[in-house]
Amino acid sequence: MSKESDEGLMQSFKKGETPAFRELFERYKNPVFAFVRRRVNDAGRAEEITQDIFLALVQRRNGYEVRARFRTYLYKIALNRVAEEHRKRSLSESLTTSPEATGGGDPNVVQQVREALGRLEPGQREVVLLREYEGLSYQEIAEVLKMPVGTVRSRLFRAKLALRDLLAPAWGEGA
Amino acid sequence: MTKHYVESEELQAYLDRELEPTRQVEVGTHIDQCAECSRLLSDLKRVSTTLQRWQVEPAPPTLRPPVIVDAKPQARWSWTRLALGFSGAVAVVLILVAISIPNLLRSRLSSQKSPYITPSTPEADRKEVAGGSGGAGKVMPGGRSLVSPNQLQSSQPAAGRMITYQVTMTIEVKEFDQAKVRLLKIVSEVGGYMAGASTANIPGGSQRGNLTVMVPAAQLSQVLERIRSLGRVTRQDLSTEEVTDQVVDLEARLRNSRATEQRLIEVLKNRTGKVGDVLEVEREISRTRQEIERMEAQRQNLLQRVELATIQVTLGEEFKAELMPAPVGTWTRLRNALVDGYDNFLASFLGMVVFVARYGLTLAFWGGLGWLTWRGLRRSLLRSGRSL
Repeated sequence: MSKESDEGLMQSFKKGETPAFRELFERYKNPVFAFVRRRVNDAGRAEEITQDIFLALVQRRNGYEVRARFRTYLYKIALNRVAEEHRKRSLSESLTTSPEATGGGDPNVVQQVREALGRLEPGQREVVLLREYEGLSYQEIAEVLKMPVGTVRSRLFRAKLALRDLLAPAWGEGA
Repeated sequence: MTKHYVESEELQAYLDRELEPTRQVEVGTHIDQCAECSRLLSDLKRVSTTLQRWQVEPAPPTLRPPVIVDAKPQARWSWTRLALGFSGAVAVVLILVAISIPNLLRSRLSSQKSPYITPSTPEADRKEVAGGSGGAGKVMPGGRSLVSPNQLQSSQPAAGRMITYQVTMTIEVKEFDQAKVRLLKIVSEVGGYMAGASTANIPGGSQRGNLTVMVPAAQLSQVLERIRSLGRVTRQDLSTEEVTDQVVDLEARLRNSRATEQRLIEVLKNRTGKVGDVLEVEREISRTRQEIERMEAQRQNLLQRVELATIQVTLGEEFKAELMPAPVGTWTRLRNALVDGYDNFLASFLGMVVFVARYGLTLAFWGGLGWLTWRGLRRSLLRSGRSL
């Protein structure tokens, strides 16, 4: 496995090295697919959107700046693409209305998690998703969502408190 | 009780290891001593653990990297881009030249003509027509130009150019009514019509009238020639305005607006948005349609102005001297004087009543006050005189 950083690979790809892009694809195909899958209910559509995101990365490789973190660049593209999808679908889909269960785990708990996330304010939900599932740092979240780091911190904390109350039934503690 | 010097938000940041190293240690020490913070931290951890229960399946094996057709680095200035840029620049230059050449030629032609215009007499006009020499070319504000009537022959619309004509004429005629009938006959014979008329009787018994008639621009020269024969022309001005650019511009804007309307209709057909969005699109369609109708009306108006020339004719009868009417009789003059006297008396009486009603109270107050003051002063003067 290559030891080269994401940023180094992206630079190589900008210079025309196709294997560098393949390496980036291998590294990020699962995270990006998971990113999309948690926001789009249809698995087939999620696959298409993931493909679109990597295609956009290829097309916009010249827009990538050396100093930018690759992860934030990629997730910005992904976020825009998903937002576009939601606009097309008129926001008819949501985390809470999916009939299709995704992933493993206890289906009841998964459903409660999705419902709890679905009841968060959109701004708080995105911060939680990027932190908990994509594992982005506060700084990276701030760059992707174009907001101050302090806002990320406070939103995340408030979202966690709200989730604590919403998920209490899942812990068997009642209200 | 443990002193609370840790903000609640810092607990989540502590959990995520997002604090400064020293602060991380301080908050950790505090949590060890504070049951409340310890409990909150435990809850936050539990939320994260529960969230992690939602895992999604890995990317399907069918997900392949996109095919990269051209892996070469995207040069900022490739030959293709340079060629496209150069072609674009050449196209812009050609368009500018195409636009400016007719204007340059037009201005050169205009400068060759004498900037001269005067009220013309029928005789002078006839000479000019006979001679066929170029006439005036006085440019007015707003792109209008004044030309002499004989210039009309040469200034008929060239192919593709749209010009409006407006003529103002003042003619002295022997019989107003007769001249008016003849004028209308001339106009109707060429398929024109009268757009407006006003007449007035002036002292001395003669008549004067302003008539506005519309005639086909193509026959303007012939019509003017016939109108001049109605009498003695004391003034004649002809102004032209080229409206080609306006018409072309309107037509381009119309095409754009129609295309916009079509796109909006397509959007409305394939609507998937909220009711608010749909209403917004409908409002936009309505606005675009109004704009189209307004521009269409403007275009029609311009085309009509090009097709029909406007002639404003002022017909004035020649002055006719008349005998003064018979003088008024003595008894009538006396009667008129009495009536005037009575009117004056009534007017002055009513004026006085109105004056008293309006200022009487004020005058009485200040007059009374003045009189009392004067009386008091006089008494005190008399008393002091007596004592002296």
